[in-house]
Amino acid sequence: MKKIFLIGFKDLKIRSRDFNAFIGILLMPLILIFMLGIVFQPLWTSKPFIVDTAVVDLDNDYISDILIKDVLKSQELSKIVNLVFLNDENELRESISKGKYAAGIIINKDFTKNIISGKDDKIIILADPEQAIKASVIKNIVDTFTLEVLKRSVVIDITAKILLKESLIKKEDINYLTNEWSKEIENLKSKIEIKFLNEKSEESRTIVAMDYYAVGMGVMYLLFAANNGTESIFEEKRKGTYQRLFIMPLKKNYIFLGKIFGVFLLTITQFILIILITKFAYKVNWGNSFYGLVVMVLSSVLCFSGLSIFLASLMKSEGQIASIGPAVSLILGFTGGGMFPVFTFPPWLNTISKFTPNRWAIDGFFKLMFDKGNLIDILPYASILFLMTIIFYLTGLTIFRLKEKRND
Amino acid sequence: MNIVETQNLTKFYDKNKAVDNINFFIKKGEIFGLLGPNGAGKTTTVSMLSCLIKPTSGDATICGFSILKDSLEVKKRIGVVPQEIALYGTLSARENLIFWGQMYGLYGKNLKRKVDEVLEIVSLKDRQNELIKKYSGGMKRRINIAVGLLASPELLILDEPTVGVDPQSRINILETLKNLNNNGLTILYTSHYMEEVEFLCHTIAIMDLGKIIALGSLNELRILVGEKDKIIFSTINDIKEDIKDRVSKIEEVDKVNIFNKSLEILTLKGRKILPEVTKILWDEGIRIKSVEIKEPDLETLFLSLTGKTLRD
Repeated sequence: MKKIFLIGFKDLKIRSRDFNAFIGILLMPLILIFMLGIVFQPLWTSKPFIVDTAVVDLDNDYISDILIKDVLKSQELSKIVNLVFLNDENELRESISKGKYAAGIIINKDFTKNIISGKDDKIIILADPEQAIKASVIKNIVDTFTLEVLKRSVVIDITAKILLKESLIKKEDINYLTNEWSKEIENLKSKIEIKFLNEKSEESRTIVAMDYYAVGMGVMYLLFAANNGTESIFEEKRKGTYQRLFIMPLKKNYIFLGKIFGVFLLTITQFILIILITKFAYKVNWGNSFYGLVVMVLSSVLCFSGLSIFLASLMKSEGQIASIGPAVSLILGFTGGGMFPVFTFPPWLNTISKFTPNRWAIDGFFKLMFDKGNLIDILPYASILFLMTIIFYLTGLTIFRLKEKRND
Repeated sequence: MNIVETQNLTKFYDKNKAVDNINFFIKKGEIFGLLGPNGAGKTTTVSMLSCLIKPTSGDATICGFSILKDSLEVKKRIGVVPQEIALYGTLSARENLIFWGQMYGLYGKNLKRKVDEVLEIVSLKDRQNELIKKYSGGMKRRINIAVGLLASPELLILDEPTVGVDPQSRINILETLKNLNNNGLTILYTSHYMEEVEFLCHTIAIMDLGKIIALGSLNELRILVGEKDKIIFSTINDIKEDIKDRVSKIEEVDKVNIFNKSLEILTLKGRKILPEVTKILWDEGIRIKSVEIKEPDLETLFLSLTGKTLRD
């Protein structure tokens, strides 16, 4: 057993003397956190996240009423959507281009009638490119709303046609019935659920860009660090030290476990350094629950070490890890919400992000940092990360074992 | 007493036979040489004996332990020096030795004493704290050997330990090995350098295409060659392949090989055929730069047995 730790510590010592590794896995994330934190601070601001939105409602019928009064001006959304009404489409376009509003909504004339009667129509969203993140919030709300309206109108249309075709209803009754059914759309406001990170509780903190990117980049760079560790398996194979380990009087499993321990050591060292440096140098608030933070760090590090072992099991050389690894890290970093907050994502991307370890790690850390969460609060996130860890390690080790058997 | 005994040791890589049913034994205290060109199967043999790869069939015992059934016991009794410089470049020589010593199960004072001892043996104590990546090729090779000595092995296996080493370092390495053997260490040494094997080894096995084609002491192997001489014609211009046929037709010629501007002939009567070969070359317009007649050696034996040289 002792030899497992000795192999791991040897790997950590070697990596600690590698200047490129120091730049790649420690300096880079710290620089990125600092730059993104400074540059994007105005987007987050110390004020609540407010999206200035202008509406031109040419419809003035009940579907547009639902969107405006029951959705956008609802108690929850009114905290973040500052709604202004304009009469003219051109005025709206001009205001948006001047950056006066982050987003603009144009509801066409007869929108409600068209939807009810089954004709095509649309709600136009205009966005200020410089406030794209804020505008995307409005777009997501409207997307969710229109999707729900569309679903219901299609159901009503098809049902009416079937009833008519089967002669179950008279033609003169159908208009009355569809109008009645359409009013059901009013109930859909309860179906629209949009949650914001800073609308959880009275005690919640406002998100600071530096805090957000410390978590986002810190988590994303876990895979960079882990990959750097797993590269050493291939590097040792290339240089012959791995084979020399197999000649030593120690169990074969110990060698691989030692390498895995080395990956874990490197990754946890990097993450702890990022947490400490961002805490003291960037004043990032990592929450008040020490044990919660320990569990989140451990579960995240284990998960990304496992992911790295899994990735390495699919590759043939350190060159492949060096080229594919960063791409995977960046994709996971983006989809997991490490670059842009998940509430700006369209629903489909939001669903995908739930399959990434980044999402659960980031959500767990956010719980500690912004919701004053404690150990109990983060257990669901840590559990999912531990589950992913088991899946990654089991799959990775099985593939490695199969490959070694083939080479024997 | 035999330290190593192999029984029909065989290794296939897919359908390629890398080692083909080889049998030999190494007596305690001797230096046993495996000589052969690249691809002869030397490294595969050594890898099987080091328990790095499993034989496809057959077995071997080292100090009485089977490489198949008791690999951990075997590993405790051998020191292996691989062909590659299997060291960590960003660790110092001492740090490397400490790590590998720990892998052998050495700790504390015992480890420190052993590290000092092997550093003395390879004469690098004064440079022990320098990073391996700053060492010359020869120095790296010496530390590579030092790792193999850490466990005080009963058998030291060296796989081409002098590849890419300058002549001075090579002599140093060979002298070190001689001294170790004089102190009772049994050594299995592989090389494709005939001179090294001739200098070091008590018993020599010549390998080609996975088989042992000759086995014995240097004198026994020389007898196999008989009185054959090797004549080497060095020429100014390239020698065409069809000359090989013409020279082969001379009665006393045993084997002929051509390497661009060199014609090597194995023959019983070296001096007698000289005029005939010279005439053939002259007729073909080939200008002779020098002619050398060599006494029988392992190179000659290999040429005699396989029709190839060790450089092939």
